[in-house]
Amino acid sequence: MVVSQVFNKPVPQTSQQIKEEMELVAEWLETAFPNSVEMLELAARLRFHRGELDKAEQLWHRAISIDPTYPFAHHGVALVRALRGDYETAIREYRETLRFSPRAVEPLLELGDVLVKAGKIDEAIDLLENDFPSTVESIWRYTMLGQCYLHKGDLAKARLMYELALSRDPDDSSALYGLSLVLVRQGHQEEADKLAARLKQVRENERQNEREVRRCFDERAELAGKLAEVYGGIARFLLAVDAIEQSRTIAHRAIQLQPDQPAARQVLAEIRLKELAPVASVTQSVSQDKGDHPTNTHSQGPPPQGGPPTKRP
Amino acid sequence: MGLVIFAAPALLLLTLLVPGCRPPEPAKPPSPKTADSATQASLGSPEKNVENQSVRPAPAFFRFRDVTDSCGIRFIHTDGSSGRRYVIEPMSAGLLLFDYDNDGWIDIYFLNGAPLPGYTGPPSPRNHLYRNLGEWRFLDTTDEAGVGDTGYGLGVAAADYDNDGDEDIYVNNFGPNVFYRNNGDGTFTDITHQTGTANGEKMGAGVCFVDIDRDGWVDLYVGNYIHFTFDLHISRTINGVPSYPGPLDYTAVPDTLYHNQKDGTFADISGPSGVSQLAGTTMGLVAGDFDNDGDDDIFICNDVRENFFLINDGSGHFEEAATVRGVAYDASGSPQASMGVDCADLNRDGWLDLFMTSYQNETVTFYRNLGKAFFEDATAVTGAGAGSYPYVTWGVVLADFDNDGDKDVFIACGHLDDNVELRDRSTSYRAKNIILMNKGNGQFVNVSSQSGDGLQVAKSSRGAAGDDLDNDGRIDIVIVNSRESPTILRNETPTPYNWLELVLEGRASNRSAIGARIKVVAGSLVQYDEVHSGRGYQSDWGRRLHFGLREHIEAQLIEVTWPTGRIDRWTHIPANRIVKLIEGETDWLTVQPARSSPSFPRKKPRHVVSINSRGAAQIRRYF
Repeated sequence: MVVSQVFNKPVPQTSQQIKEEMELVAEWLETAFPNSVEMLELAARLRFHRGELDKAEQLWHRAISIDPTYPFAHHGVALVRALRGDYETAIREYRETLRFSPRAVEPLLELGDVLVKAGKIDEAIDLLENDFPSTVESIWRYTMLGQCYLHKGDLAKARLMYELALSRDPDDSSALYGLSLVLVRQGHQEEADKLAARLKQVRENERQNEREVRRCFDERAELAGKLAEVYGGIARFLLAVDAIEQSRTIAHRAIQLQPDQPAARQVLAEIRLKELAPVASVTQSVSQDKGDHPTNTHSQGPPPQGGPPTKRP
Repeated sequence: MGLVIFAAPALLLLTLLVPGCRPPEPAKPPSPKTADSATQASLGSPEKNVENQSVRPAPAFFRFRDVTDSCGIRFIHTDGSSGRRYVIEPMSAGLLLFDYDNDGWIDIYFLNGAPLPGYTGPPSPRNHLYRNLGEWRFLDTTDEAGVGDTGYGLGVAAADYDNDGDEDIYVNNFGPNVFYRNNGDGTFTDITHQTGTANGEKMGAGVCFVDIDRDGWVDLYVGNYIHFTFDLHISRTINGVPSYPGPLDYTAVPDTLYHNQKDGTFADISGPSGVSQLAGTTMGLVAGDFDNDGDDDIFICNDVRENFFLINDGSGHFEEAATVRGVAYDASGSPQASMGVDCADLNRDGWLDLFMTSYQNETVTFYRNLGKAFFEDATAVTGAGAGSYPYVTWGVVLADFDNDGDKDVFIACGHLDDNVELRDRSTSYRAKNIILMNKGNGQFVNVSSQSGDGLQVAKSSRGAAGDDLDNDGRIDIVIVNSRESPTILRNETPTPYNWLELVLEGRASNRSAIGARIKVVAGSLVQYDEVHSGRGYQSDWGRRLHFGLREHIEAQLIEVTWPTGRIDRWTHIPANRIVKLIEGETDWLTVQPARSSPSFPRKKPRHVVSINSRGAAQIRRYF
């Protein structure tokens, strides 16, 4: 059994070893759970992290063929298609994602980005103005809208959007740049020059930060985090089907890789609760809503890349 | 070298003056008999051309054929690598297309890398010069010409720095640069030391000649990438796979600007010109008059940081204004891994636009000039980014490949990392190049997959250049591929349209006419272009300007604004020929490329026959 093969081995110490473990686990998920959309989706994520985009996309398609309403698989296909520059398919898949997970913000922002890249400016405006949840703040949304209105020549609206972004983050470089372009076109050259000077300083600071990040970058830790996140999803799935021992083993493995892995911690806590009070309705806490699937360790979907939606990734 | 006036024979007249409306066949060089016997008749005035009434549609696709194997070019690029992954390795190299022997056939100069520590490959890689013999035959004349520099070649440009009638070469290396003076006899002399242009031990990039103060002598702008020595080498991995470090791992450096002192020397004016205050990570660059104020400005690609846009005040002092001009970042305000850049008037509004290549997961960027050098990133709304997002893109050539009057786009692709597929299969080290058709309605369409076997070649391309190598009126393409042989693409697009190619010669202006602005009017088709030296990805080409004329069989007007500010006009220039325009002269000359031979007839002069607008033939004698 792959689980014992993998999880009885020492914790991987190098990036290469982590990638090898990803491969083993992906194969296990693909063969042991061929009809589980959740596990196929997790296998796809592992393939994606390994850079195997073709295989990842195939797995997401397999998941869709089992459950065409599964939003995370549509999201995965959309990501791959966008990376390949196939904007039309990406847009279609993002729309499918949002159809089956209408509250998800991250795919919505990503769709906006792809629409802009595809030159569908009016569609992007419509999406970001009308479909975006009013309760969510997103600087990225404002800067994209600013960009759209700038393309349309609507300088007043573009300016408003960039100013809204800057009101949330005065150092947002995209907004500073966009606003400086608006000001130039509005004839406010002096103000634009001031913004440009400020932008240069902000960019220099960003570069310094990036250098520091690069200097301290722990690639092994990042890969370990990705694998641990998938383990968290697997553990949650196994717990949901009452495979408690396997779930525990895998959650422990996740924590070995990344001690603060939240999904794994939560799974272990739930297992303990289950053991302490067998009649407790722990499993009921697992929502069946597609926007909060048992395997979903993110709040807005399963993006293999990207962070919080408040800023452009 | 002097000009000898001869009369032309009737046969030659017919050949030269009958307007060609049919698809131009690949031109054959005229026989020497025809050229040499061009002595008897005189030409009348150019006939009054009648517009062709039947307008045929432009081809839906281009057709490029890979002729590399059959044209005698044996050059193999080396990056001097040994697996250590020095940052310099993937940057090499650009190339140069120019007519070094003034025979009317455009020659090729390839840059090469050099051994880096640990290298164990073939000994003594060096740059190579290939002389174009016509009929798609090229001869390696590196030894004879003396231009086989063994430095680590990165960027190159040519221009007639001493105004003696032939083009000289400047090579921007990692390490000391090299300046070759063209002796006019098929040989070059290394004048780096005497011109004072070695530029130290810097890591070079793009380079261009530009007459910054319009004094009639071209100056030299030398790009510098980063501060790198082997002691500063660092190792990087991505997802456990060895990768190259990037520019952010090193210190940015300013470029260097040399002023031509008109006495064979150059003075470093980086400080007073404002250039030395700008530390960047220069790769490709291009100079042009983007604000139509009569002097050349300079756009500089900076790798993973904001680009620079140097606005010339007319005296050779520059102000950096990329941010407020809209060319510092892409439309979303993100810095790109800017690689190469070319400029042309892509929408025929009279303003030079910019087209820039970049990195994987960024599209190429089309900066549309809104007027007076204020730009917008119009990539998304014009479809200009089609097909480029997954690839690292390098060389870029803006040229009218089907003679429909609109400049199209060729983009060279290929990843830095030869092992990228181990960590990311959304891209590839070797990649097919991209060609975009300009539809003339503000939109570009990716027609790569339908444009012949030449676009199916997958290599890791770097510099690319476009010129009419067979003088058939269609722009061909030459591409440098990292660690491999180059790719030579013959343009066989079955276009029904006519064309005109212009060679400009300055007199009061610099001889290469760098910075001259040209307006060509053919019916309702109005086109603008400018003479550049140094463009694309650290390359240079296109001194002979090419204009597609659609169905028009003549250009009713050609107007040249020379760098000095003088404006000359010529009227009723018949299509489908190479025409020479000289500053201050009312005649235009039809250039008939000479028949080349493999060996240089050093004692027996060869001639290029030119027919002027009044019908007199001129034969330019050289060597």
